[in-house]
Amino acid sequence: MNDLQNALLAGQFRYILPEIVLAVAATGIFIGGTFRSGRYLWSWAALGSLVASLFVLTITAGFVLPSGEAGRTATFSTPLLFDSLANFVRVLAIVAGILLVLFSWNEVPDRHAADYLACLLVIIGGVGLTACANDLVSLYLALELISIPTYILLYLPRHDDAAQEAALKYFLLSIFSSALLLFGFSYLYGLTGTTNIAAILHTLYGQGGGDMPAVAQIALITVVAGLGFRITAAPFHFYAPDVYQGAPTVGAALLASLPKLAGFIALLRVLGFVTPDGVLVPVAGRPHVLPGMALSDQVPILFWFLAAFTMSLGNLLAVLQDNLKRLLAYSSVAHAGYMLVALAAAPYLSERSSGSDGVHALLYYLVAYGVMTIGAFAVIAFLSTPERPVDNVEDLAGLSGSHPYVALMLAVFMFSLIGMPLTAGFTGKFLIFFGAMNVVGEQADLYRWLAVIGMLNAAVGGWYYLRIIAVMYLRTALRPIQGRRNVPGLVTLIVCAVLTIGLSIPPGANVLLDAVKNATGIKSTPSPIAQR
Amino acid sequence: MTPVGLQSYLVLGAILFGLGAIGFLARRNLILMFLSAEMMVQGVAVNLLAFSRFRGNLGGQVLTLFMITVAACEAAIALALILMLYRRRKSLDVSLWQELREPDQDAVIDEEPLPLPPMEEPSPRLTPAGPAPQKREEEVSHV
Amino acid sequence: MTEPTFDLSLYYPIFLYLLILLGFATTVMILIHVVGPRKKTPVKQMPYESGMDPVGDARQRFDVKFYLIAIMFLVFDVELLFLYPWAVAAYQEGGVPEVLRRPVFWGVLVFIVMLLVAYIYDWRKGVFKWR
Repeated sequence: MNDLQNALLAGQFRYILPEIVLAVAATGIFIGGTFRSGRYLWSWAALGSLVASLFVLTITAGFVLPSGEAGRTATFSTPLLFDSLANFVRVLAIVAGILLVLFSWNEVPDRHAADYLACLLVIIGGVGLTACANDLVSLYLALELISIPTYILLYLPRHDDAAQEAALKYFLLSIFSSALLLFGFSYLYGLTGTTNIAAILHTLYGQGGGDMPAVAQIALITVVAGLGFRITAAPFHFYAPDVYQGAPTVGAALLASLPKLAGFIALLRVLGFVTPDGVLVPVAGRPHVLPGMALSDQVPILFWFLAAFTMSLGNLLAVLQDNLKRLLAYSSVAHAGYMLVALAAAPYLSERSSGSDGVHALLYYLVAYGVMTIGAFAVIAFLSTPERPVDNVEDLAGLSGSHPYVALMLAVFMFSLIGMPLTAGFTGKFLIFFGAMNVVGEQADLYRWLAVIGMLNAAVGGWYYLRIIAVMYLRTALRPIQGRRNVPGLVTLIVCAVLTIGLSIPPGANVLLDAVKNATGIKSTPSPIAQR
Repeated sequence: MTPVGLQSYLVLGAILFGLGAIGFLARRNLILMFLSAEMMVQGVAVNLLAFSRFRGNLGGQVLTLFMITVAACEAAIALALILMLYRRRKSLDVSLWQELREPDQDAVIDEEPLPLPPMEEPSPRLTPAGPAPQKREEEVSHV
Repeated sequence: MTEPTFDLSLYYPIFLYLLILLGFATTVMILIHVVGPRKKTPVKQMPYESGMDPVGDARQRFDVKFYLIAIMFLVFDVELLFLYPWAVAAYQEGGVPEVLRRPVFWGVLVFIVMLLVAYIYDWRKGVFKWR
């Protein structure tokens, strides 16, 4: 350690002020909740602290980051890195947090509201720190900062058998997955002798992806498996349907959005899909390694199979479901498959002039999926009352008559999940499959096939989403849905619906695409969607 | 005395990890499942410490320290959660919890159920030391 | 990494510490005998006063209260793990460098305050009530 490194390390604190704000607020709410209970008070407090955190983030994003020699040293020695990708994800996490607070405004009993909201704030902070993590230690801690409050959060709003079973299943599989992840981390550390992710990637890229020792393959597989639980990739998706069904609706919405975001960002960072400047340096006499192939040149093939398997399994099993939350869980698995397509194609797209299209498409899709899935779960929560629960698809019958606007918004979310034009889901799918079709070279055929599998899957997906719409509009209910007055819930719905449409058409689409491109450090270039 | 090589430690770590993974998948007692997962983490800790010594820096040890702390937090949550589940079903058998499953799938019934706990003796009453605390109504809610 | 050579004379503070410790323990025990109040209740006569009956089958179920205490202990006990590396490295040559001492010190203080916050939380939630 030299003086420059120490000074950089000491200077890191001011950049994580947004997360510090969240942590302090969470602590305050934890303690305050033992003195005063009441969900409105603490919901306002949580909302306020999230807005404050966003405000602080806009200020800290303006702080000058070290550049030149100091910047390079920072990349290879500091545990947190505050690049544009990190800031993009932090904004996303805070916005998702605001939506989830509004969502749960009337869902959580007064007695547990403070603990619930404090846990939610900690999770948001954890997602932000995951995005900044540049060290195996900080990455691991950030991921645990997401999962430990999640266990509590799944359990707090309801204490019935189903919620307990869901919390138990999530808890056991989550500790199993983090053990797998850690095993991979230990081999990564052993291979390179450092826990700094940029330094690890630099060393691995310098060695060339072709002739890596077997240890690297083991590390790759355990890391992908460990993070695969969080993103519900196919062989690791078992828990998702059970947990989503048993957990409170707001817990399911959270599980479908935030851990997925964190898991994908962690994959991008650890496997080197997105690297800070100075990591990818061509070494004389070594074959040039594409981004994402730090550990092995088999990475795209691995993700190819994961993607194909995940989306096929998710869609096929979703067709069989009657329970709405279970259906959305399998739909969540299927969408993880679409996102994995982007990841599989990303290495081969990085060479092209338009930059790493795969990563752009993935980030765009993460935003789109987050918005529409939170919206879909918010509809279920909005319509359910203890006397007239909305559990199964049939329970939605006659919704168009009793709640025409809510039905319209649910239809928007469903159309977006199918991937109909004029919705964010369409733009995202278009970007992903367009990218996969555009792979050139030896692998071109392989990726065309993957795109074809993806489109077939989207068609299968259309079946079960359309079934929901059909039940809503064509059938009449025996007992009409009551719903209740829930302004914050309605606000969540409207915001999600507006974003679902707004992010697919200009100017919303252009704003998001520019943000996504800016996040991966590539200057804005016109893309087929933005020009439309 | 010949020094123990890096490989021996890695093999030990892998064995611990593998035993933990097998135990996690094969066991049906909630607490033993949790302990098996902890054993996997301990295997990782052996790996990290061996690598840390081999590489001559402290990175691995730092990660191990944090791992132990996180494991303690998880153990606290596990204890609390398992206690709640035990109160509900009066058993630690994980196969009693299969209400959530595919709609057309039957519950798995094991051919060999776990042996019943020998004798359900009533919980021992504590002999209070000092004056018995006064129970007040509003405190009962703080569970 | 070379192990430092063992030199017994370097260890005299430990022996001194041991002596003080033994002295303190014996003094306290003698003092208790001399000035302590004595009450002969059945509870006080038990060999192990803290709740469990030491005679009989060891495989009996524990009261749930012990679990709560175990959970609390687990968290507070392991968190102290972080104070040892800091105490060893904080003001040592080759330990925490000059620039980082203040941030690290404040970090440790914040950490201890967090423990205090956790304590207040437990207290307000009624964990320490033996009921």
